[in-house]
Amino acid sequence: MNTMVLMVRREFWEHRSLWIAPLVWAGIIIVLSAWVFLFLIPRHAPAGILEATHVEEIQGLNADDRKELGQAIETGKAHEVANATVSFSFLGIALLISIFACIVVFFYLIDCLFSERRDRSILFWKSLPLSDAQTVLSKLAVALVVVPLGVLALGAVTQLVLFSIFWLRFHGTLFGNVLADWNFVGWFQALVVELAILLCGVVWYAPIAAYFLMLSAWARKLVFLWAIVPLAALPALEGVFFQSKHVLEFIGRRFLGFIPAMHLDESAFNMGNHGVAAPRIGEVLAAVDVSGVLLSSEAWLGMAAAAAMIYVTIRIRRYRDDS
Amino acid sequence: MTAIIEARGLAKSYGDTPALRGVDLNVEPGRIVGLIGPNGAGKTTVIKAILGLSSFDGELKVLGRDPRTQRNELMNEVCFIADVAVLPRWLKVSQALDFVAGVHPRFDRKKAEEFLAKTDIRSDRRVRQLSKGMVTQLHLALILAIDARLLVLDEPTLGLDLLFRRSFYDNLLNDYFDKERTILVTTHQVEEIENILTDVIFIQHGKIVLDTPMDALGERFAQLVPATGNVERARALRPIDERDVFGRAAMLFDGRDRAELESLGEVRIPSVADLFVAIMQPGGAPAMSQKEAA
Repeated sequence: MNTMVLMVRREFWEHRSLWIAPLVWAGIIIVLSAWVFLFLIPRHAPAGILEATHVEEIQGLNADDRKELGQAIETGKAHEVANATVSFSFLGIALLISIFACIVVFFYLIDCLFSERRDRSILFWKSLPLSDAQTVLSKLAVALVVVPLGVLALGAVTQLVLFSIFWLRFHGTLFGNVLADWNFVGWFQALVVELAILLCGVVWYAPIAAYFLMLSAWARKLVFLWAIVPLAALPALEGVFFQSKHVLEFIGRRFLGFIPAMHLDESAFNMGNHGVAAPRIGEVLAAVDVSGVLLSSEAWLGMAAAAAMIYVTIRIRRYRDDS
Repeated sequence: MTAIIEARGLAKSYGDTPALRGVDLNVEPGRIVGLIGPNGAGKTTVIKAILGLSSFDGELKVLGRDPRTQRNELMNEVCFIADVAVLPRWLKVSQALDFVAGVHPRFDRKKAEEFLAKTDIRSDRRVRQLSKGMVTQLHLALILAIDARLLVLDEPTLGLDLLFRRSFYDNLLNDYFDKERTILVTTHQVEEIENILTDVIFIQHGKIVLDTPMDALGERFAQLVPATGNVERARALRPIDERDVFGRAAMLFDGRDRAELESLGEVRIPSVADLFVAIMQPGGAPAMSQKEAA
């Protein structure tokens, strides 16, 4: 076990973009959001509205506006907008970080078994008592376990930082109280939803990760093109020669199919049922269907394909002789 | 005592080009064996087979195990340096120590650190910041601290200057080698290692052309500089090689009686480099391995 931990650490020593790039990305999210809270909104908001603690304190409104605003605030309170903000801003931030992490992990996967052959350092790693299976699995673990957990942690920290900035600026005001209020249960439920999404995503993406890893072990050069071109060319060729889209649909399902499969679509967010866009995290959590993914034949076929490709990858690394 | 390496009929082709054509090897424990041959002779192919890095035909046992199927177990007791450029450039010295210490059960971190303390290598450096010689020192520090039974070195000092080459082999002998351990080394710089070898193996065109202990070398081979007037008589004894050295003929004999040669002129034990040139040069006499001769 200690060996595996060290081998995973080794990956982060070599591929520093695995942790630096998401940190930078989270930093950009924080800086841009803070700029919106602290500069953009104050500049464009009507005078006094941000500091007001009651509707009555807001200057320059006529009676109708005041009434409308009061009603909107009541509706917002009724629909627990303040709670929804805490939950769904977390999911939004986690989504932004996840998409970015997918790109980083893609480059990691196509590079990790390729660069060691390019610089011949594979001969050093192979002089140590580490099996090819251990090596390949450590790289897969980075992509499918360590990075997703890192995404969850980084998403949580990013959101807490942003919430703190928001709270320091707006707490006690009418605007602040209606739009965002700390709510641990809602936040935690969002964390659980995100964990479910990551779990299903990892299961769903396992064959894609294995495919990139296999190319990384196999390609003599141009591993990036080997990874990308078939995904683009096969659907195009099918379209030209057969006027059909089965390959495209297959690839689309392999990339995004877990979202409908876990019932994480519009209905989960209950959009429209409340008259305003104020979904409730508790309802999303209740709708999320992890078993819909984990028990689907598509997930199992995918896992079987992933296992087969990982086996091939291990064999290639073991017997390839081009160093 | 069981042999460290036992090979029978190793064969391997790259496409249509045969790289090994039936190589037999027998390496006993506690030996330092030089595997010497021109470029493309098959040295690296033999080594890759021994280390389980490539496929081959024939029988091969390393420490009693088959490197094709038992490579993982083998690597606990076998170490190798492939050549100077294989430490990854992004690796920090401290990371190298942490990693090897963590994954190798026979690594003695203290020993590696003591060795590094005698060099100019700082532990916060990355490999890319080190000179070629320092990279080799670092690799050697890692390897010397591993208690392995077989150490395989493939051109370990390629591209290094004389000072680094000399200290590399000095360290190997003083800090590493003992009766329990075996070293197999390939190199082009024959002259520099011949005095540390216990055995020498020549390989050419994928075949072993000479396999002898160093102490038997002098009994079998002799270099004769015949006295003026004796040149023709010496030639009649069929030297395997004849060269002109400062205007005088220097002849190399295989298996001639020493007293007979001494009657013709000055006799000395040839260097490995002399033998190498004699045997490997185009049209050179193919010497048989001692086993075949016996």
